[in-house]
Amino acid sequence: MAGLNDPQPQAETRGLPRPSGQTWSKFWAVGRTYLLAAVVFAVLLSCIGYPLLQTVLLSFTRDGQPSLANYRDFFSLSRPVNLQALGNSLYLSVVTVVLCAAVGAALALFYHRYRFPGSQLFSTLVITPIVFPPLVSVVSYMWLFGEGGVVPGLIRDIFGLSKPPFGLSGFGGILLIHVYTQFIYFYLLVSAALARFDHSLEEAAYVLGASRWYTLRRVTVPLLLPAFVAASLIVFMVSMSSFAAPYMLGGRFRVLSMQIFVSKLNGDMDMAAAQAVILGMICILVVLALRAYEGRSQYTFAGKGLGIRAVPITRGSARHLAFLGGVLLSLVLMLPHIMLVIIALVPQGTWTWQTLPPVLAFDNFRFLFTRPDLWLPVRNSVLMAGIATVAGVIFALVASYLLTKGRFRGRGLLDALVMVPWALPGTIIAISMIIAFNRPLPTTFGKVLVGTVWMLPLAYFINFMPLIVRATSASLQQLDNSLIESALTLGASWFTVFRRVILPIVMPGVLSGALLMFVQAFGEFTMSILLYVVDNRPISIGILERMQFFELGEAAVLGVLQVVLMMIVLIITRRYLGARATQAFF
Amino acid sequence: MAHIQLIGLSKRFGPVTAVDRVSLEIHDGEFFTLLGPSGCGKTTTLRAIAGLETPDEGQIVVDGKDITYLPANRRRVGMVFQNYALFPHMNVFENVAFGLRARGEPAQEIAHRVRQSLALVRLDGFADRKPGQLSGGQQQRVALARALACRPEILLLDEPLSNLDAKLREETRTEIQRLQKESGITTVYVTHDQSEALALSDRIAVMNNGRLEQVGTPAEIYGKPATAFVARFIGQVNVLAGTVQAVEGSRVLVDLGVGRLWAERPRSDPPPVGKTVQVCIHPENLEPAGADSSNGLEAQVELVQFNGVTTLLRFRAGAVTLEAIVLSRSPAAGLRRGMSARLTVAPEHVLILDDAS
Repeated sequence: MAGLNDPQPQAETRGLPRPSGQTWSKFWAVGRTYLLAAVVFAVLLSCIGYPLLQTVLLSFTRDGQPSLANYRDFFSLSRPVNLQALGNSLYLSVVTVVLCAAVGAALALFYHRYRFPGSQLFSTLVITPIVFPPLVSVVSYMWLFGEGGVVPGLIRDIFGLSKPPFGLSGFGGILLIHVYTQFIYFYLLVSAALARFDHSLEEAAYVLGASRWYTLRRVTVPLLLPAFVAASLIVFMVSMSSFAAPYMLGGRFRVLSMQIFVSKLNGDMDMAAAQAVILGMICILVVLALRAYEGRSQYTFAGKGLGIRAVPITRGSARHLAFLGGVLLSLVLMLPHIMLVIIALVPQGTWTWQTLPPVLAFDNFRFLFTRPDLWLPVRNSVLMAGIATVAGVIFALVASYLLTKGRFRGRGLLDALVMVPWALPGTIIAISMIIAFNRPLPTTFGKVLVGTVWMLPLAYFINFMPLIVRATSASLQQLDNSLIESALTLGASWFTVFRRVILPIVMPGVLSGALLMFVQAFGEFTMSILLYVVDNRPISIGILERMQFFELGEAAVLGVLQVVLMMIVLIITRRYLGARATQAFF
Repeated sequence: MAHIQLIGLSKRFGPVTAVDRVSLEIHDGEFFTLLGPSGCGKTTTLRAIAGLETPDEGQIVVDGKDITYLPANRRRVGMVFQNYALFPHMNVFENVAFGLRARGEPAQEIAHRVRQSLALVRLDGFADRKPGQLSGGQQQRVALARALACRPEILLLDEPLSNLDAKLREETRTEIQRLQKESGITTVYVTHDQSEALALSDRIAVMNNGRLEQVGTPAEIYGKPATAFVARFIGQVNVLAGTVQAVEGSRVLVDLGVGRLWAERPRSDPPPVGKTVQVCIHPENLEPAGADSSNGLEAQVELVQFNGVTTLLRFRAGAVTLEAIVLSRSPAAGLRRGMSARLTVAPEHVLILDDAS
């Protein structure tokens, strides 16, 4: 009796002989996670780590010799092209952040604060700029506001001027497009913060005797600040990486991402590498700042947040004014889309000197099925984006599983490595791939990848894979471990667990991630222009070519195709992911 | 039907030792409970038996077979999870059928067994519902039916009642006891609720900091706690510090500073004279103004709390606080704050505890 009840019985020295096969079982039980992790790390290192490492190494060589010459030239004060480009990039990004903050936050506050006829619809329409691929939005803006664009032309006609009063180009042009495409970050993040914001906190402050100003300063602003900081950092990063707008409109206004492109065109890969390293460092620093900040200042509101109550506007004239403002704003935001559709409907050669197009018809859309120079780029993009997405789904399922459910050393590193391509501009990814894959490697099956059709799908995979990993991780995080465990205890094999429990539950997330990745890859421009070859010209290069031949209608048709596809994807993913879909779009 | 042995089982998570050299035997058909506060390692032990954790050291032996590294899906265990872990995308029938399908049973057999299991937990007619359409208690019973449908050798229950409200908990507790006794399945039950453990179990293992404190029947665990931890965890008891003054046979005289009491040490030899010890007295064994006045202390009433059938009396003697529970209709319940009384207790009810491990 006493022996049985002893807290720590003698049994430790006892023990049974282990049946054979135990070593393997133990290895599998413990090593499974590490085996999967090894595969994922191998993919990440060969696709991302190795090319980046090669780029850094190359940046410290000149003509094959170790040298600091590239950096010396970069920071040279006697030929300050690169320094100027760096300065321009920083200046452009800071101004973009300030303007986007003003526009985005004002809209978020306005639509959250006031309720009037149509306000719901208008607040949804604010996000229309996100269904625009970068190149297409630039092209639409050129048709609208560029030299010879519709708006300057109309102003000239109305006021009887001799020539258009302005034309979109250079710094101002890039800035306008940046604000149009990037204020959304502020709008969405500030909106989300306002929706979470517990109004009773302000009331509590008043009851405690705080003045309105003191409450604003000590309660409201500190609680909304995280949204502003996060949005600022994201917008700054996106502006630093921006390529389409500077490429199409920059002219003599050079930015750093363009300089990389120019160096590559000139065949000066050493310099391109150094420029890429400097731009990459800035982007990574911003991402690190973002992460540190997010980790430090996540406020969870205790209790049910009431949100800031929307106040109905009751005065008749104010209601009308607000409604009118909503209509006008939505029109301004949709103007580029409208312009794109109009151009797509203008048959070749019918719109010459007129300010507005005299003829509209569906001719250009028919060409999509008859002219190979139109449908080939579409087919290529579908194929390449499809390949990248399928690879992305497979990779994301494994990587997300490890990130959310795996217990192993190095998970933090995995998390960081997966997100690196999200932080880096397309120019850097493309340049580092050119540097790394211009010779046979064991990881590329002994082939030289540069100059083949495989560079682009690989680049799409690398750059957009984080999207799908994030979407998949988010839904895996919601999948309770005990569901997997209970399936196992019920005798299901790992494959059955995956097929019948994990997959059905994470499917919405995976599908949404896959669709997002597909549309992003489908309309990609920056890496495409650096990596395409004749045989795989993607849709964005197709648009550029049509523009060069002044076949604007045909170019617009390709743009409309992308916008429609993005709209469909946004609608589907919003159904699955709710409001998160909009943020996942970036 | 299974006989489970845990032999020197250890599991570490980073720097934390969740389970520290635990050795136990669980008999065939027994209702065995792992009891302890959160973080004591009880759930980790349960999960190791299920095959969901791989132990760092030690062995798990079922019916003489070492299954330490056997994958969870090849063990014949049924497990009910704390949050039930019902598959949200499947209805009740599909949930209960899951394990049978995974084992490739014929469709007819599956339908039969699912019906049987649902009848067992009194949920016939709920087969088409989704888990989201069920109440907490119903979800709990589906989880139980799902675990039992595969006719496991071992049933593992991880705090199955903790998400139910008080009334439902009582009902379900009785239900689980009935199911276990009817099926005779070896059951390991994890809980932090001592009343649940006492009511349900054939035997209980009390765990603390990854180690076993005591293993025994509910009566032993309650009536003769081995350590101060077990005593305090199981019930509202008086634990007092004192010094051994004399030893007479199995009886030990302990000086508590405010008086001396004769005590016993039920499990092992009496401690030597001069040793500092802790003694435990259950409040229902303290008799204010009892008949036998030979073993007792003088104390003053500090608080009287009427609780229906019983009344709680709190006494103070010097720096020592003592609680007694008496029947409300007994004369002692008539004591009032500030009155003095002699608290008496039989020597076999003053238990000398083992040193903390």
